[in-house]
Amino acid sequence: MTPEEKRDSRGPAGPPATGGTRTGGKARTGGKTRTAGGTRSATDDAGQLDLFGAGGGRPEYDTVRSLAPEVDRCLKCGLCRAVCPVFAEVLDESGCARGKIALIEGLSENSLSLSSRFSDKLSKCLNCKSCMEACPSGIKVDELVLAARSEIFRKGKFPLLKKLIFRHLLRRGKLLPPVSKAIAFIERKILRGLPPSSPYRLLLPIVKMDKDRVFPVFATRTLMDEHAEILSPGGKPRMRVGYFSGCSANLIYTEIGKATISVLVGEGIEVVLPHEQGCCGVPAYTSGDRPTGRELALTNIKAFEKYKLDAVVTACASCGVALKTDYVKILGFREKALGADVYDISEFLAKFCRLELEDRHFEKVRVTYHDPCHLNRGQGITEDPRKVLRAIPHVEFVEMEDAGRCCGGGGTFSLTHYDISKEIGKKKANCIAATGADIVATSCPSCIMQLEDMLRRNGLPQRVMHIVQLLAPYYEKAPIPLSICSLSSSDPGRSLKYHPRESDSGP
Amino acid sequence: MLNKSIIDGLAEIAGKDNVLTDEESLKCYSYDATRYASAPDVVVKPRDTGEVSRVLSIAYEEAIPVTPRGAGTGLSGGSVPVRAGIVLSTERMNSAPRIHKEDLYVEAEAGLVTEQLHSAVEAKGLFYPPDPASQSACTIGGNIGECAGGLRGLKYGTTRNYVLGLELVTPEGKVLKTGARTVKSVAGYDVTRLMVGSEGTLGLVTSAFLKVLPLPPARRVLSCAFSGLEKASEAVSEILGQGLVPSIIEIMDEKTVAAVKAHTGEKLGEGVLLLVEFDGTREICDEDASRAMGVIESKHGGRVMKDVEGTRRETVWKARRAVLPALSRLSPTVILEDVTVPRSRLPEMTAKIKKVADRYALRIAVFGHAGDGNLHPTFLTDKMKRDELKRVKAGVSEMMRACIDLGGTISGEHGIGVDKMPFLKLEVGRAGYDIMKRLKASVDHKGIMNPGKMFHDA
Repeated sequence: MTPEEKRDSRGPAGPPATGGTRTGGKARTGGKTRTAGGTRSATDDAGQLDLFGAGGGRPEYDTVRSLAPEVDRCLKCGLCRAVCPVFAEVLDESGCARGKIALIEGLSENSLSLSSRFSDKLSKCLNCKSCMEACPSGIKVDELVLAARSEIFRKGKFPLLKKLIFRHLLRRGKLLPPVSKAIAFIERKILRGLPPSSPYRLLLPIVKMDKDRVFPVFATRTLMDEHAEILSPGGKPRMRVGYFSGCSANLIYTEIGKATISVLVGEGIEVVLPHEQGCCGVPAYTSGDRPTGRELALTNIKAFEKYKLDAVVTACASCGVALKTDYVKILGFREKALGADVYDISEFLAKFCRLELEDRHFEKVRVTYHDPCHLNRGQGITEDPRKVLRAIPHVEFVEMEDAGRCCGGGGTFSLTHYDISKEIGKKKANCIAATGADIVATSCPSCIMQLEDMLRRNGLPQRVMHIVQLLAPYYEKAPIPLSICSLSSSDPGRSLKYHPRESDSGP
Repeated sequence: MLNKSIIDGLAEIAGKDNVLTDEESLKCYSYDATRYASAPDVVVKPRDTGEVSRVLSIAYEEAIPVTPRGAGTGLSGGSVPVRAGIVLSTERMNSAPRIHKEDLYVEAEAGLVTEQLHSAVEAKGLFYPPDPASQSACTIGGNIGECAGGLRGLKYGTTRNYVLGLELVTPEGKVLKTGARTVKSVAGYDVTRLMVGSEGTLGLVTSAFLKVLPLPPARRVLSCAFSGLEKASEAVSEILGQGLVPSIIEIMDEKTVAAVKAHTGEKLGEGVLLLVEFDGTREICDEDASRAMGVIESKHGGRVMKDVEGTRRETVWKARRAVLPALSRLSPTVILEDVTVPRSRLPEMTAKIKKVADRYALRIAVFGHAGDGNLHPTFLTDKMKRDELKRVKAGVSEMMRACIDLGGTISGEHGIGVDKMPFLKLEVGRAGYDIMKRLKASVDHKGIMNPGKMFHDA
């Protein structure tokens, strides 16, 4: 038994183990060993803290065989073929949900095994949830695919690189900022002189990167470096809100984090930014590594629950869906494990803030909005971000066609299946271009990363921004020069190449 | 299992990536939207007619079964490879349709998704009426194979009424064109019409010349509640008796309405629901709709719950589209039938279905296209309950017989496939069955095209 398996099994205080051979005793041993080593098993801790709900941890979704009833509900009508962005590119039944459900069925009937081909086919899912919207039977495709991936992780082939990243980088949260700073250093000092035409880009495929890819630029100072844990507005705060930054706003797009904080503080809200928080766990458990996902979740739960909060806010759609539903449905923690209700920033603003903005006469911009899958289908939020955009005086809002269609990013999907991701992204880029907008706004850093790459790749001039970045200038004490919020940059693509952005080019 | 040289030969034609033999892929191409499944030996995805012809030549030479497959959304098992062999998927034959507006026809490849054809022609002010429920996923090739229908059958007919000509590949691999690009054509036997609804048992359609109409400028739909099926059926008869031709008349019985209400939370009224749509110029829509309302409200105790036009019609059609999802949540297994009777016999047919339900202690929800007599009695059951399944089988059988006795047909728009094989002879008679088999044998004498379908004794 591997340590992963031990950690994944539950002690007596947690939900019952489902593997049959894995006993509570063994799980306890696993927990104790780890206690001696300094870290305790996530599930042991969670058990003690009563973080699992009464039903506990959805053990029924841990093995593929236990999924049979859900698999059985599939009518095989094939309507998922119409909406699946992956299917549209690969034109193969295994691309759509019906095909994947058939594969899972094959596995639970023992006619298929966890081969590398099986895992490759299961990996071709963006978790965009489009099929779930179209599915007449309301099959929980996301839970099925993730459970199958979890089985692949436990028993099948799992890419070493991913394992390395999840086990060692993500789980030991403390390592992440120094690593990202190292990347930032490399990007600034070495890659800076690497224009798109540089022959050195030919080396990128060695690390499995497309040589033309536009990379996000890592920040030299993280959001946590620059902000204290408690950020109070002047006067008595009307609410106390925990801010879950997510990795992107902490390490890469720190300006999104800063904008979120300014807006909230500007609204008279006390913001708590627990420095102990880390990765939400999405990259790990969506790839099948649930043990790491549980540990990451537990770190976050512990980081937030010690504060008395009125709400938890995030500006990342994927983190939001993790905190709101996946912690419960996929990882088995109890509802509201962070100690307060979780809101997407636009949802929070629409619900608790008046959004009456004084016109500061900024240059007018035409803005369209891309619905991140994890906000739209993941959290059912489409109106709130539009409401926020419409409230911004200098924004002229235009809808794009298929605003809710996936951009093809899908987190690690764009790294492992860049060929498919590029084609999906191209369709999105064309929809954005057709609006004639100056800016495409969205609510998820993962989409931002993909959209920036896709727009540049297709030679399109639109800039990509998080909606809070458009909003933040209204909450600054003095009007901010437009260049800082990069609203009037003459070369919109500039910040996306290997150059540090103006806002974080420090001393 | 096919030997390696055959697989290599296929790979040479369609390319290695488009010839699939791994067990994962075979699993993915083993089913359609029925409960039938059977894995092929190989899946081949040719790009064009030339490649299809070469694939069929090999199949003919080696006597390998070939099962054509579009999107696998069929409801009779038509694309399930029950005799293994080759699944010939038209997925990649999906280039944009060529639209000839002045001649009112389009040229579409077999793998083109029906809804994509709809939007392409509608963008040019044209209209392709067949609208099977799976239109967002199903393909033109599959629609032709099964002669797909849809909601608009009453006024506009089914796929058969729109196919002017075909490009097809014979079982030997010969390419030919049938029919014409004109509405009128009597050059020899109507091979086109023979192919439509032949379920891929005679050859493989690779592209089609399809008739299109000018897009009606206006549409208006009424959603009406009735106290019972009888009242609603009478209203249908009288609407049609008055010379009105709605584009759609859909009916949903009490069970269906209750399920949809529970599923969507829509306010649909009590009892049975009738959805009546008119299309044409605005004046015609308005006039017809008000005449229909008169019939519905004054004579048959119906209540018009909604009366909407343009894009707001969506609020009405949402409820109709929710039918199958709603019913499928009521029981683990739903078996959807397709009986069709002359319109005037609808009340008798629905009464018979009710009798069958009582007699065999079954749950049957009835909805369908009342305007063209096509009902979809839906058996709500559980495939794990052996005893109940037996009763379902007996009930279906009795319903089929009743339908034929009423002058109807066992399948309005789903086809025979595997599902309705036992009943074909019942409907067409010994002589009818015999001539079909002679046709099949003369066109496909090696019997490689979609074997195991349509004829239970072949």
